[in-house]
Amino acid sequence: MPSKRLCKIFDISIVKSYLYMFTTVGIVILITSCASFEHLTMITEDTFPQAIECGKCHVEIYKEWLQSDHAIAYKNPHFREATDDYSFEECLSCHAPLPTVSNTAPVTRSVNRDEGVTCVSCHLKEGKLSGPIEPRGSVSPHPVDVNPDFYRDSDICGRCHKREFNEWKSVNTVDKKTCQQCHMPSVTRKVTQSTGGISEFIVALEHEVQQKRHSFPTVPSQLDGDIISIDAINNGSSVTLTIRNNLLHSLPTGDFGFRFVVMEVDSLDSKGNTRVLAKKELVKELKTAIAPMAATEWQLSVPLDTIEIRFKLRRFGPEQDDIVNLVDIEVPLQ
Amino acid sequence: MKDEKILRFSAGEIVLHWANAILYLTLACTGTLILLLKIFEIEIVSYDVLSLIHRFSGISLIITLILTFILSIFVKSFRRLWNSLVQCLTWKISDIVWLIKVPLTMVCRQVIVPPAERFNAGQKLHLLVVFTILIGFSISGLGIMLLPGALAAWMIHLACFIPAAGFLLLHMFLSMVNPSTRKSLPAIFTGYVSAEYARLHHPLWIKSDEIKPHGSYVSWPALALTTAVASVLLASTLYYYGPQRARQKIQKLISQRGTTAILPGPLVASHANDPQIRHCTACHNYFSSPACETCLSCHKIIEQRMEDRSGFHGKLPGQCRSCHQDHTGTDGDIRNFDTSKFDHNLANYKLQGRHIGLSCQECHLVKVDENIKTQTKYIGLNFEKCTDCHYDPHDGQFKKSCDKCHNEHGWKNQPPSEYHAMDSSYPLLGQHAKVKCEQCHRIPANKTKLAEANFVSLQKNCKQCHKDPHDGQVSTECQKCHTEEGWKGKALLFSHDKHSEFALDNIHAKSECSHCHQIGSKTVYRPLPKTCEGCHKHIEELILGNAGYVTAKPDPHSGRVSCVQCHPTDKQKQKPSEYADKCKSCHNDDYERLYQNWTKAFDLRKSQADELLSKLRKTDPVKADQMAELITQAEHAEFHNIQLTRQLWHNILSQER
Repeated sequence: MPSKRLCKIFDISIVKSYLYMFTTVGIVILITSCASFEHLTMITEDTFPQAIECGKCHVEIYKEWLQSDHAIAYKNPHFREATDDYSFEECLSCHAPLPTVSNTAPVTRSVNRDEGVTCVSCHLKEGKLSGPIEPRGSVSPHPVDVNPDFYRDSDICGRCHKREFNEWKSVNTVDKKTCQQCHMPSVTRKVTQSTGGISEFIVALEHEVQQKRHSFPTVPSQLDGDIISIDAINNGSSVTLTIRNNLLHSLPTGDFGFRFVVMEVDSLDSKGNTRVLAKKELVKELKTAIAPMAATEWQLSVPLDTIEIRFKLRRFGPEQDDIVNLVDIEVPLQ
Repeated sequence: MKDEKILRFSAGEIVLHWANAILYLTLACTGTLILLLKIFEIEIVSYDVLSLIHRFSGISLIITLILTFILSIFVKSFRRLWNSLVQCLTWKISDIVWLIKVPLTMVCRQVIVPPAERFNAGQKLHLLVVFTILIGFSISGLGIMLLPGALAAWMIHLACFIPAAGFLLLHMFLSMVNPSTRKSLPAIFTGYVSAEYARLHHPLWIKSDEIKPHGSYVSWPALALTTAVASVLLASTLYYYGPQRARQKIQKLISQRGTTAILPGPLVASHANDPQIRHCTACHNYFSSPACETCLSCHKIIEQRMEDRSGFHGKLPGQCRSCHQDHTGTDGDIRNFDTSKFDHNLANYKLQGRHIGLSCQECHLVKVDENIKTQTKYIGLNFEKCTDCHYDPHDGQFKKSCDKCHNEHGWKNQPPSEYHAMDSSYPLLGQHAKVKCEQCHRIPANKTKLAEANFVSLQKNCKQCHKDPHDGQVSTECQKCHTEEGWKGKALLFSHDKHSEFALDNIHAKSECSHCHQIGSKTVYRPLPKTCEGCHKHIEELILGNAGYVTAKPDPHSGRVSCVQCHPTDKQKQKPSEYADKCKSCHNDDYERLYQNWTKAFDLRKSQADELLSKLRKTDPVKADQMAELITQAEHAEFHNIQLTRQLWHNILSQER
């Protein structure tokens, strides 16, 4: 049974299968004889699988995660302050959760909280490390569970990002993208990377596969379409801009912390002078955020000798330098 | 023959002579003394005594004469008088000749006078003159007494005096001094004269035939001696009196045409100085007493009163002179006014109340001129206005009559508030009724009495008396907010919503006024900001992250959320749950819990800080005060800038560790 199953998973010839099987079994026996991988899946009162352990093999993913907001979900100073030095327990369940793959609501873990939303928060399930793709390597040092539907669904994100998830859910559209489709850019690579030694050998045996990056960018650098689409109707002295939010969540979105988006319109006159015509903040709490797939109108007066206007959209975070330019486009004046 | 006596006078004649003579001499003496008194101002006996004696004697003389003549009708022995009188009054040509020749006998011995009867012409003339003078004296004397002030009586009386005195002197000289005639003197004591005397002087009476011429009737030596004695007496008297003075008196007598002799006394000053009164007849008549008309021709006021029967004089009967007599001297008072017996109610001004007890002088002593000369004035004294007598302490402020407020029963009869109601267009209401008069009617610095204070020109606006505690910051129309009932409490009409530009919402409604209006030591009403941050500047600062010694980032709400979004103006004190709802309404349901968490967190810090503070109070009160301030600041900061608040509490709690 196991061999039959393995054949099915790897989809290679029986001969090759047997070769790999023996090799792998040999290596596993070799490795397991030297080290235990129990710590990757074991959670007790004071032990918790650390990301760095995962990163020993899943090097790229670990690196991505390390740069992501998930890694600092707990230890970033804004969260520490916002929870009065982690004293508000109910906040911690999403910022330092136990594995959330069960159907129950996220629960705060007792140790290793600094890692925030760490690997096992999403990937440890009933003693197995779960994921959307079949293992491509010859060996797995830890039990593996494959559940692509679960991991490709927005629901997994929505366990913590509840309200963003609800916004997304409320949108009715064809070919609706999931959270992961935008915030986990695709990449084709091996799931593990070598770190020298025996890992070179093991990784060499692995096949590349299309997978998702774990950088979780707030503002994805590559999107299939524009964040917004903009129409300008020139009424002579004034221009009515219709700004349409193409996202499947409101612009901006988010329920905690500090973030907002500023729209800015600059004008360029015939003499080549640029000046800011107007600025407008979009804040979700102030109900100025643009709902998903909805549009907002903005009427501005434009000087007569304006030959061109530019529309800019910037995102601001809690820090002074936390600015991301989202949009900077020329709006044709009709 | 030599010692033969002849009866010359009967007893009746002797009695008549002496009765007449004694009184006549008395009258002559007193009359002379009165004249001396009048003319030379020699007062040996007082005028009143002289006058009394003179008048008594005069009346006695008249009665004596009348009685004598009545007796002579009924008593036999007196009837001889009529014979003698007839003999005396029977004049013959020889009597005239006798009178002419007698003086000549003094110079020429050859002159022979016609023989005389029982009475010679001289004696006849003497009797006639005396008789005439007596009648003159009697009638004029009675006139003086019965018709006071009739000039003719005085003039006749005085005119009679001159012949009377002359004849008296002559009579006494001849009967007592002159040698040839004094031999008849015993006749007037005993009734008898010597026959020789009778033969010589009255040959026809005793029917003697041997009419022989006798020498001079008047002896020169006797006359010279008498004249000498009189001259010496006169000269020595004159010397004693002072010739210069005498001359002045005589000149005065002459210049005033002898009136000083009968003048009872100098006129009172007012009459004396009246140019219209130059002569006695200005007031006096010759044959009657001075008439009222004469007085009233000048004293028009009295005339009017008497015509109108008004005032004191209008109610009096009788003549002016029955009360008023002049000639009482320059300083005399013609008014002859006994104030103690005067019934003032007869006058036009009835005395009532306090006026009754006053002494006359308090009203009737008036200033005559600037030289502070005062004198009493009774008639024509103005009394229509109180100020005619009373000094007006109000300095003419009140144009209306005084009796609105004052009456005769005293100045201060009513409580001041009633005065105010009586004569003021400013009724005293509310608290004003309790205020002392001088609080509004300020007594000027140089004055002492309330009455002298300013009353009429006092403005009726509040600021006339009240200082504007608002320092001109609010409306000048005080009555919009204040009434007379008081400044505070129910009396204050002030409504912040109505009268100010800042309607008090529920948040501010229960605030102490001073919270907004006390800025340092100053009370400020205008201009005050109307925005939240205008007053709650410190909160704005905290929101912006500025707590003085600690700074933080501006709260994210800053510039995005207005104050009233969390502090609705219709809620006076929001419950924590309501604040939580506010959080929820913008953020999401989780923020309710977040709000509670923060509240709990801050409350814990607060209780810790309070514990520290109470410890510190015992050890270092100054530092404790500073800490208390910091605690207050942290409490204010709270949700306005959570991160700043965290820091503030941290600083407070770490301070004492």
